[in-house]
Parts: sequence; structure tokens; C-alpha cells
Amino acid sequence: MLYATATLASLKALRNESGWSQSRTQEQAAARSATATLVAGFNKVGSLEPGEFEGEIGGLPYTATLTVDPELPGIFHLTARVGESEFTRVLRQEPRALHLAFARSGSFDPTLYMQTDIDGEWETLLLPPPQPGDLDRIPATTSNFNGQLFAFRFGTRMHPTIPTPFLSQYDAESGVWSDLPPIPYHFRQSLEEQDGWTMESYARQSVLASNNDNIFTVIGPNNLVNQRAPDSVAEFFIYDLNRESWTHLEKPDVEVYNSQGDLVADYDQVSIDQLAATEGQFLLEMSGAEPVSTLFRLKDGRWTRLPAIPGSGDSWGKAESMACGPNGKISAVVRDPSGQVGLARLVDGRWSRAQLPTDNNGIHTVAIDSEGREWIQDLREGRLFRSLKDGWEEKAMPEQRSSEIDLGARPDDELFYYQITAGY
Amino acid sequence: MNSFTIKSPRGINLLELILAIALCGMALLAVIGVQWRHHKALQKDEVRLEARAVASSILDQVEVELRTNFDGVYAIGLSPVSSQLDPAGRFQYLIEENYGDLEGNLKREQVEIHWDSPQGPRKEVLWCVYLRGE
Repeated sequence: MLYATATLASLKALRNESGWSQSRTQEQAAARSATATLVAGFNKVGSLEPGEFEGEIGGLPYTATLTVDPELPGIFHLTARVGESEFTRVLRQEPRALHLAFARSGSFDPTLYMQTDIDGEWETLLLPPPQPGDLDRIPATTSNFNGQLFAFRFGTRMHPTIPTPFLSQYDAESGVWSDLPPIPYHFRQSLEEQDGWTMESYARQSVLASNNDNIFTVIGPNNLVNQRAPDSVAEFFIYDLNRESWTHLEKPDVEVYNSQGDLVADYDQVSIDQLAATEGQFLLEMSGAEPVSTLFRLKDGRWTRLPAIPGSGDSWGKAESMACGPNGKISAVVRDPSGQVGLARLVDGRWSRAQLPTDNNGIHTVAIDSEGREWIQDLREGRLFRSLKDGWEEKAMPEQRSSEIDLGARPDDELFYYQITAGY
Repeated sequence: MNSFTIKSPRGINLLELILAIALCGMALLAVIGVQWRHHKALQKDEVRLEARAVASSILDQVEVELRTNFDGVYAIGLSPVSSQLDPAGRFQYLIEENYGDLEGNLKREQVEIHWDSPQGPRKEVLWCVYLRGE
């Protein structure tokens, strides 16, 4: 009897415990949900005031407190309680990311545009001041989320006869152009004679990408390996915007996907076609003899090859344009061997296909803004679209069709949003 | 004349014997009964706990995908749970989702785990609201 009583008591304890742990799981999720809802509200109001909050989420009542970190300025702790469960987020105050976009029309005699209102028109941007020996062309531009546009240029400002590749930087806040230190790339006169390369060829092959801390460029002949002239290959450089210095970068492996999706070493055929960057992430797109893309991602100094991009059916596609965005987002406009164009998104290490906003197989470009929304430009129809959660909205186009759209954001000290930096 | 009486020890009364056996039997039955209830209740709770663990794992997977594609569609009708999460093939799950605000910055994901028990169909529900960019 004593054993039976003890067992019954232990059963009750066990049942209470399991019931408690079950309800606790939902309580924790509800507490987390309460903090998410509160942060969304803070973002909408645009202010963070320490205090206490009460409410109900999914039928569960919660209480929450927002407190200032006693040691770190600008850091807040938001703790929500549901039942016996608690969830805390650490919030950091950051400048609100406003809309800013740049566009470039053409490489020869180019026109630059800037858009500061997401629903507004594009205005023409003054070109960077001319430099000695300036080729009067901008083969590539890129921007970051700090409101800076970078234009790739060639001139002879560092040497009277040897052309020097350099970048001009436009700061949207000050409206001023300035020049960065020249890229430490040495134009090889002998190679020009040997291979028929001209400075214009080099300029045309230059690609550029940037994030808030770095600029990444590939310059020179558009191949990774040249068995006939080993020095006549592309060179990779990275610029540190904080240290204001250029560094040589290691090159990725030369193995690329073929039309069967297998890796092959197409040594003399590999060409480098595009770069993209955001938030510490760099992407490089290469292809071999066949029009199939191989994407490499540079993170923490190492190149990683991404999966081949599927086309329609069993085919593999060529990314005609690609972009990366916040939180590791990657999108590409892909053409498959049949000529069909579609949108591919890399989600959780796998490519998924999506519809483009227009139904034609002309050339499209893609960019991703600071909110993670895609911007698709249809160059055939001359239309520009921005992705919504369930479709696309059309946006104004620059006066001339642009060869690329670069998206940025401008800090505004008067407005803030709140960025979560840590969980519980 | 000397006489003596031998007191024979008192035997166990039959009634007492029956009573004792009955008491022992009842105690034994009580122990067995409690053990059985214990066993069944634990079994039932184990299934619920297991279902909750499966729901939690599925919600974790959705959360990972939301980080890279917040606007992706993760809702799914009643489907079998993968064998990795449910080797016994006991559960089915469904996901319902909806935006929690007009701006589309909050998304509520609800996972339901369904299974059959001798008492009829059962389900376990777990939901969470996620914030864009978290």
C-alpha cells in the first residue's frame, strides 16, 4: 500500500512535470512572439522609451519591460514574460535605412542617376571630375548601404604614361566626389602588344562590388589561367574602406560546372563575368566553355563554390545578373540553354525558381536593397520592378535604360530603427 | 487427582484467513492498478511530449528558412513527418502561416502535429511570431 501511494505520488509529479514542460514550450514561444510584436511596434513609432508593457498574444497574457543597459549606451534589454517563461532580446539603436539607388547608363560617355525617394523620379548625377588621361568612361559602378557610390575609372593621374585603374567615390550625404588610392594593378604594355589587349579591353573586363567595409574588384584579362601567357590573367583585389588600403586576394579554384552539372577544369576557357557583395559577403560568377554559371562565395577569406543553378527541365543555367542581400540572400536572373529566362533564389543552400515580373526572355538585371527586396530591371521593355511579399510593384525608370542599378541607403540621424543583435 | 489442561493454540479462523487473503489481494490489485495507470499515463504523456518535440523541430526548421527568405511560403497541408524526426511514422503535421501586421514585418507560423490514439485523433499545436530580419 505504501508502495502504491508512493508510486501514485510520483505519477502525479511526473504528469505535472510533463504538462509543465509542454505548456512551457508554448509559453516560451509566446514570450518570444511578444518581443517580436513589441519590436515591430517600436520600429513603427520610431522611438525607444524604457517602460513596462502589457498585452495578450494568441490568447496568452504577457508583461514586458524595456530597460537601458547600465553599461553600454544605445543598448536596450526587452524582456517579455508569459506564465513562468521569459524571453529577452537585446536591442541596438541604429540609423534608419532610407532608400537610395544609383543607375548607370552605358560605359562610354556614361550618365549616372540617383533616386532618393522610393516612389520618386531619378535625377541625373554629376560625373566625377576628369582626371589626366581620363578615358571618359565608367565600365562598372557599385554602391553600399552607407550611401556611397563607387565608379571604376582609368586614367594616368599617378603616372604620365602608364594607365592606372582607380575608383571615384560619391558620397550621397555630402554630394562630393573623391578618388580612392589607385588599384595596385600594373597594366602590362608587353602583354598588350602580345595579346592585342588594350586598356579599353581591360576596362571592359573590370567588375566591381562593395559592401559597407570593402570593395572587391577583378581586373585584367578575363581568364583565371592562361597557359600561353601565364601573367596575362585576371587579378583580384579588395579595398578596406576603414584602413584605406588595397590588398591582393587569392583566386578561387578553376573548376566550373559544365552543361551536365559536373565540375570540369576548363583552364583556358574560364571567364569571370560578375561580382556582387553585401554585408561581408562577396559573390563571384564564372563560366567555362559552356554557358553554365559557377558561383563562388567569399567569406572569412575562403572561396566556397555554390551549387549549380538549375534551368528548366534537367538543364543548368547561366546567371546573367546576380545580387546578394542582407541575411545571406542571393538571387540571380538565369537563362537556360533553351533561352528561357527566370529568377533563381538560393534558400538554405538550394536554388528555387521564381517568376520574373515580366514575361519575356530579354535581358533582365537584379539587385537587392537593404530590406532584402529584389529590384528587377527589364531592359527589353524598359521597366523596373521591386518585389513585395506577394508580388511586384513597378517603379520609375531612369531616363535612359541603365546597364545596372545599384542600391544603397542613407543614414538619417533624425530617424532610427531597432536592430536585434542577440537572442535570449 | 492431578489434572491439567493443555491449551491448544488458537487456530486461524477461516473467516480471518479469507479476510487476510482478500486484503492482500486488494493491496496487490491496487499496486497493479496504479502501476498500470502509471504506465498508460506515461505512455500518453510520452506521445504528447514526442509530438511537442517534433513540432518544436519543425518550427526551428521554418525559423531557419525565414532568416533567408522571410516572404517564402511555408504553409503546408497535412503531410507525413520525416522519418528522421518520427522513425515510428506515427505523426502527421501541417503548417499554417499569416502575416501579423500590415507592413508584413511579422509572420505567425503554427505547426500542428496530428496522431491517432485509442481515444481518437489527437493534435499538438505550437506557434510563434517571427520578426523580419531577426
